[in-house]
Amino acid sequence: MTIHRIPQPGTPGPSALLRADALALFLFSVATRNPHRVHYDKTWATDVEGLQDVVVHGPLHAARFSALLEGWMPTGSHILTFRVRQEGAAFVNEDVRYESTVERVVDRSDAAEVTVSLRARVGDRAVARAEAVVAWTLTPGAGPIAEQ
Amino acid sequence: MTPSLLTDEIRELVGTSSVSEHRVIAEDFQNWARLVGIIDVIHFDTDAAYARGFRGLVMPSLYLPHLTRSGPIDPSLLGPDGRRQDAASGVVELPGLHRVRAGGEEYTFHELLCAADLVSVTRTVHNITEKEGRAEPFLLVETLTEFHLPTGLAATFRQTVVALP
Repeated sequence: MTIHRIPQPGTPGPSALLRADALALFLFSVATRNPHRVHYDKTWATDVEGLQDVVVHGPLHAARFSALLEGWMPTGSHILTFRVRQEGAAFVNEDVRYESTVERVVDRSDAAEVTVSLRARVGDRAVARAEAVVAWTLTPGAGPIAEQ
Repeated sequence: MTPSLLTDEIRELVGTSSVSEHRVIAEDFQNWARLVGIIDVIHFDTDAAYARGFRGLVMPSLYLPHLTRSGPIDPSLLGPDGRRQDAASGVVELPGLHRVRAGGEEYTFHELLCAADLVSVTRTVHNITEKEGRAEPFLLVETLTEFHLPTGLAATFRQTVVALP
């Protein structure tokens, strides 16, 4: 029988070290139809807005958090709530470390509610913090962490 | 004494709403998904989505706020900083405040949205408050956006942005 393992509180969730170069920022601006100059115009970002460099979109950090969750959860699971707070800017070509921890697990009849905290940092600099509650499917079937 | 950023004109924006309709377009959310590393077949393969019991290609959850930004951009409605000024973009125009930074976002999902869904979107300016920052004062602007399907409320999105002179 195929079952999905439920993650345990206090254990690490998904993590990744990701960088956004100028092309990635440009493409994300296009995909979100966001022409804000701070994401591609260095002169505007530094001279007018007083930023260190062109800045990574806040929603890109949130999107990457959700991508990590999607790749980690069994197929059929989904996000119930997601809360993210931007804590500081990340700039083009910086390595951003995304990490997460399983905080709580509540068993339901057909799914577990799993609460995950997520953090994004550049070195010691906090960039974003999030919390997601996901419906973790218990239904037998194919999934990325299914076990026989 | 420094005049308050929270002028009567800005204060009057609180409680104002806009309503719009948006079609969920698969190519748009697939493009976004590839860029951020989402690869689950339920977003890309219609047959696979049906086989897993979904109504169609599933829109990734966090694509939600970008749904209202679909459609062409009118260059005449861009600010000097490139930000969109059209209502559908979700930008709340604040006279005298020209710099905007991301603050926080909160999503609640009741039903998954799928390709070709027609979504009615109501955005309300929920609250505007003035804060004393470390470097300078700023406004926190909170908007609440509701996404409705014909069957009922599908999702809510609460966003806070930081607005500076």
